[in-house]
Amino acid sequence: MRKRVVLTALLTVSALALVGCSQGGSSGDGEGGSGDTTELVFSGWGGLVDETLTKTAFEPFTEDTGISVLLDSPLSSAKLKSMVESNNTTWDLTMANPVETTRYCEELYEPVDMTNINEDDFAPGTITKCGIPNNYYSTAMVYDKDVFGANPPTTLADFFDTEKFPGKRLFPSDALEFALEFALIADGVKPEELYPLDVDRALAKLDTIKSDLVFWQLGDEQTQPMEAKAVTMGIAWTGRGLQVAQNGGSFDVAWGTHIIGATQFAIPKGTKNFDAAMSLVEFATSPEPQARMNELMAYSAANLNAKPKLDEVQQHWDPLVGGASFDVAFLPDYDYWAENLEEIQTAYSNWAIG
Amino acid sequence: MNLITRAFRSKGVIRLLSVPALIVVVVFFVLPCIVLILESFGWPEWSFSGYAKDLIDPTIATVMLRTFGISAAVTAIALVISFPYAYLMTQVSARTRIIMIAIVLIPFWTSLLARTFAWMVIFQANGPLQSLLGFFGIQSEPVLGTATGVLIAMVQVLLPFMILPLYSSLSGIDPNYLRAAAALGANGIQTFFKVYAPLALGGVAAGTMLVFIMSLGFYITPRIIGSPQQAMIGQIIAMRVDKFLDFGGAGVLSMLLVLAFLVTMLVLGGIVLIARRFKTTWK
Repeated sequence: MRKRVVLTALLTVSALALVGCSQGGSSGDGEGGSGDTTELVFSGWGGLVDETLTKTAFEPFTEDTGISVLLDSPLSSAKLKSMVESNNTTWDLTMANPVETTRYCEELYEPVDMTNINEDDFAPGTITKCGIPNNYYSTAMVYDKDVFGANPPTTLADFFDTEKFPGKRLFPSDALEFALEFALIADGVKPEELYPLDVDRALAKLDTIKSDLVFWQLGDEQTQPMEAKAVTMGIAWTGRGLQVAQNGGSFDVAWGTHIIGATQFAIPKGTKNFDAAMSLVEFATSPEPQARMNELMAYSAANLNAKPKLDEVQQHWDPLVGGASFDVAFLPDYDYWAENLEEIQTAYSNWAIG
Repeated sequence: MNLITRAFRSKGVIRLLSVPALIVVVVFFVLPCIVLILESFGWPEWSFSGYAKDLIDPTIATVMLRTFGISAAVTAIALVISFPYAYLMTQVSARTRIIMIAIVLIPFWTSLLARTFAWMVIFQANGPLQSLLGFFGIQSEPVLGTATGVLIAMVQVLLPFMILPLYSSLSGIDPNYLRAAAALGANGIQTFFKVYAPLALGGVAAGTMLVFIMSLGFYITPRIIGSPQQAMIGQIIAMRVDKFLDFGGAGVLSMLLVLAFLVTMLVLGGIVLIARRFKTTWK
């Protein structure tokens, strides 16, 4: 009996807490710009990116403007959609993928105000109507130096050659991490002729090594098998390769096999603090905070005027320094992806889980 | 005190007490479910196309069958492990019983995510499990990314939901029945199947249903421990919600999962009914 009373009490309390949560959060009621904004709510991917941005951009921004930045991570597009649809947008700034800001521009995100942003400061094609890039990351072939010694794999064709280069291989489980692009390049398709993606051809190519693939979705699912030497090579984020190298791992990157992606800042539709959020984006993407971010994280500054001081290992793994700029690598076609996102991801995922 | 008891005695007040719970259920369960069902039919329009597409999709069928297969296997393994444990709990001294309950409950109170990540570490290539097996001279492939890994982790996570209802039902069985059966000449096996097992059936049914239903909705464990080849339906639903923002499509799959479950239960129930009828006619 007493147990039941305690249980009832607990349930009531948790129910009240739930009601409380759903009520809270909506801060600020004015329509206005940055003038009357005292705080901004940011939702990012959590972890290292949030920590770094807090140090390099948010705290200095608060010192300058008096506007505090609250973190409400992790970000979820589904949550954002629910917020926007119920006219209750509590986030003022989020991180996003250019595919998302293209696909959901004006539906989930506000178009950015380009008045104080210089397009030439950023790599071509990385600014979208609803997103300003925060950094560039690259996905590339990495391999175990200890295993392959003097004859390491150098091309994506080598990645598919399991006789010459045996062992398990890391591979993305999400097509949006360019799984099909890598397969097609390995199969001889020229980077400039990749789009529209030939899904059947890519999957047929991937079929040849399917039993050797170890699929990843999260960053830790890349570092952990590399550090445990459970794989001999992989298609992985170079940022995670750097992390392994910094921890004394024996992995190296084959530059020239890489694809560069951008992550962006985007402003959720319906925010009451658009002007202040835009000021924060302008500040966070200016050279100084960008350089500091680049130094703390394994990602290149999106602002090409940023002058980060990187050590030797960082330089080697940096997509723009080690990867020798955008001439070698190539940027995915975000418009194509935005239009065909569902179809391609479903086809790839059906192949992977079937 | 007297006043309070008296006030509670009037039925109206007692009914009022259920109002907060009702509100919570309606607001946080019934309404979202209705919205989900509506969206699965393409609300505000009206269409069956989502259902039509998924019903003939071979990948959906594969993953649905896999989800039921894994859930059935997890339930069966959990039952086989839990029954002797729960029985033992009814036989030992009070102090030992507390220790046994603690062994069940401590992992139960630990976050699902933490336990799943712990299994990931244990199962990884060149991890503790492989080293342990290697110590005994057994060369093995890493369990991470295999169906075996998913089964072990899911059974461990769900074990308390089997043991607790089983224990509560087994502890209510009067030992005098067993003594009576023995006195009337039944051997151990007969006593178990004719007397003990039928009395335990309620707990078995409760535990089995709990574990099976929870398994069907599992997402994070197969996602982290398994490879895409072990993906369960929850992962496809999550992909539709998170990546495609296709709440309608997620609703379709959720409804199909519920329907598939109901059909399974109806078929099982039918089999039990028929079996019972045959049994009575034989007698």
